[in-house]
Amino acid sequence: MARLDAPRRITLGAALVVIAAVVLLLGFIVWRGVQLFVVSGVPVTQILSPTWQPDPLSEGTTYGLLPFIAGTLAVMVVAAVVSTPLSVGLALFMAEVAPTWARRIAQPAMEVFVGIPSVVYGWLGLTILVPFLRVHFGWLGFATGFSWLAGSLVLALMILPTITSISYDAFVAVPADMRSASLALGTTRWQAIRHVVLPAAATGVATAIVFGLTRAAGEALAVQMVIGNAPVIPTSLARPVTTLTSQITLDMSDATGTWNEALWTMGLVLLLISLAFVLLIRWLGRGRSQA
Amino acid sequence: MNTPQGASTVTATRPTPTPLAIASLQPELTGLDPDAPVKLRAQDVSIRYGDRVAVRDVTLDVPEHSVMAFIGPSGCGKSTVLRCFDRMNDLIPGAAVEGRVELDGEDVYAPSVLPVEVRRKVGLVFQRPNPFPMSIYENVAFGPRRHGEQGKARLDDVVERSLRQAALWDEVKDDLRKKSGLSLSGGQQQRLCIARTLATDPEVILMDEPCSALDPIATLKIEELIGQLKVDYTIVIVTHNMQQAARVSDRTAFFTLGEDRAGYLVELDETLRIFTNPANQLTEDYVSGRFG
Amino acid sequence: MRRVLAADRLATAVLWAVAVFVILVLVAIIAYFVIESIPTFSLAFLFADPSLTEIGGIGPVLWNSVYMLVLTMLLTVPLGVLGGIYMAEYAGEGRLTNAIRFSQELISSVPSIVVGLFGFALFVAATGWGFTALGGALTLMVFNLPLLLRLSEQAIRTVPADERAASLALGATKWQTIRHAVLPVAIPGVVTGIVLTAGRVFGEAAALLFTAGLSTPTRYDFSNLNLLDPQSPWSPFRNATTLSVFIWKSNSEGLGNYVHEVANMSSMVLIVMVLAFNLGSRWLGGALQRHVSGL
Repeated sequence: MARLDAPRRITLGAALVVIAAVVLLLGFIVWRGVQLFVVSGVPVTQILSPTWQPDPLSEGTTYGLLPFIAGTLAVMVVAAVVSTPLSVGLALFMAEVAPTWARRIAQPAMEVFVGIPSVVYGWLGLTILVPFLRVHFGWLGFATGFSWLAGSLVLALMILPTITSISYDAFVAVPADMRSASLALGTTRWQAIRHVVLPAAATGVATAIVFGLTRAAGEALAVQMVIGNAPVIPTSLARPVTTLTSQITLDMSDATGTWNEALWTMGLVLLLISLAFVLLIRWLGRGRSQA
Repeated sequence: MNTPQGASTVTATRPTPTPLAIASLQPELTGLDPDAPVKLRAQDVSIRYGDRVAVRDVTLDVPEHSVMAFIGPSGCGKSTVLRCFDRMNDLIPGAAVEGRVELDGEDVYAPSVLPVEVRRKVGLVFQRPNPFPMSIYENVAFGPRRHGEQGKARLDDVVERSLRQAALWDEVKDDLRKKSGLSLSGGQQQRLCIARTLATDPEVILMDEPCSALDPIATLKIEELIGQLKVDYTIVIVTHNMQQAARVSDRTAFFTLGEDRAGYLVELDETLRIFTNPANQLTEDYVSGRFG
Repeated sequence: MRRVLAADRLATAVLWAVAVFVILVLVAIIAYFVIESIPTFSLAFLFADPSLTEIGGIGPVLWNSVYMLVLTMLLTVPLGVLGGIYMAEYAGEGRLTNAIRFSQELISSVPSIVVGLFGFALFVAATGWGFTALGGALTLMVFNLPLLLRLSEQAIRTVPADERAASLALGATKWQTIRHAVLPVAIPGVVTGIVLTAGRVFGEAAALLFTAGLSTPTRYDFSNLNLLDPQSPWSPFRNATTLSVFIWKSNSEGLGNYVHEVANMSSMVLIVMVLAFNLGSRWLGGALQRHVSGL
């Protein structure tokens, strides 16, 4: 009997590697992330300070993570605000409006979009978007072009295929006879979309946006290349800001001691943010399966 | 259009004739008005999907305030013909309608006519009940709302009237807003869909095998309902069930598949004659169960 | 009535405009790289060593990308496919299955830089290896395993129940059924999943910064086959800067006279490679599908 069960045990073992990876990952990140408080004795409340002064060579260090957390949220939210209308619109187009030939162009195009690596987006932002903002919108305060807006626009492009493909699935999952029912009552196609398809797919679209936010919050290199990396609380779309991921990317190889520990704490904060998103997505999914 | 409630029960109590009972009736007892104006007309209608001809050369008239049944074997194009009358075939890519389809003498496919307008006058009840995932109230109010009715009192009125006409009011009046249309039983859902159609104030109601997903008791309720509705509306029903056609319809059109795999209309006559003394051998074979 | 029809037309026009806009942006991106790359591109660029004073090439980093890809897939594919079989065929409802699914979802949404930090803590610091190709590959495995697991599970689940029932009815055991009735049918989907995962490995950079290293590679001597020698290009125990990391690094450090040209051409190479993986997975999946179904 035990021999018969061998395949089951081997495949289970492979699946369990995923759990092992998560446990190890959580363990290492939490352990390294709390060193700042446990070993260096920095008060936990200090990370909520708006002041980031990690350099031990200057007087009085302060490990305020607020600029990074606020920057991450600010860049992420604006990216989603820019990207959502385009992505959901494109998903609606592909699911509801597009004739077959247009769908045959749009679908592979989305796959190409997904395939472009993030450093390439960062490089594009650096060589095209940043100079463009500097030259044409300098009068609006884009002194260098490196800015909150530049980061958000690059991210908006990167999360577009994510939001598009998940909302597309949500629209396609709305049964065809719901649309026919609406049309048979004499509504226009847009009325059917607006009053039947969109409400029925609302949870799916919300899930798509959360997936987009998740990706936006976690993207590192592309954002780091265009955002200016100034550890300040974001106040203007035209000014440089920074994010958790950017700062880790920039400082990790050089920072030592308590400074380094603070970077691990940033990693822990990122982990908690993604955990929150996973739980949010699960919660949205549960609502859908009950409805 | 709005006849008093009581008036619509005239035909509801008509006994359910078995084929044997029909045979013993005389044609003149059917009480059909030969001078009734034509509500729907198809003239030399052929429908193709891409290169394939689905139905060819159908010509038929549906008189006002009557029930016509479309019967025939699967794939003979009876649903396809039905969906010409409200232009729902337009939604299928590659579908093309030739010939002339009329509603009240006007060409439904004229370039100046909008499908949206046709579908307001010609309602469609689907094979599978398909209420929206909304409350019962919102399901019925959906059509009127989309057509611009915003007044709460008038909407309440339309919802109640439509649900009463669909014989569903008493069963759902207490949870109009609480219950989702999807929480009802299959038969109730189908009556909700009928109420939803009635709420848009159509003149014609097309029914595409409305009982094929229902149990016998729910089926009976829908059939009673059809008898009541024909006083106010013109009804065309596609059905697989010959007893049903015999029970609910005044006239019956028999379609079948030709050798070229295209459907065509074999015979159209008063229901009694189709089931007792059809002119065509194919019809006789079909209704007597020797074919199909 | 008029207003409703106007709204319908307007909405349709807006949706078309959105679609055209997005596609044009994509076309513009691709066109930009192609047009910018053409004047300076030559095949030698793919094989030459990087240079600070002239255009040079991306030979070593391209080699590293391919090397890391193969190494990562060697680690990921067996685990991913076997795990996928478990999830599709054996896993029932229960806490264990839930825990696996939750772990999959969590890793999928953890930022790659955090996975990189984890890889650094475990495969660089705790093991004492330092920055190595193996450490980078293990980190990428952690990152991509959940994806491949999910794609394989989906591919296996699409096999119709009839295929299983028929085999079981002939008296085959569960494993024989999986091995001979289910897997052959699922293989096109599994292969598509593998190739898609590979495309992601090729483009990934953030998770490799602190695991596979950042140092500019020296000239590689491919005749050195000693797998434990950090100088050998074949060794997993050496620094391995990939093409993606190279693009980021050359920009953030601004080294060399031809950073701009090199980054453009490298980006184009990267895009072409990833596209080749995507299109390749479609083509391969389709070809295998035809082969399996005997057409």
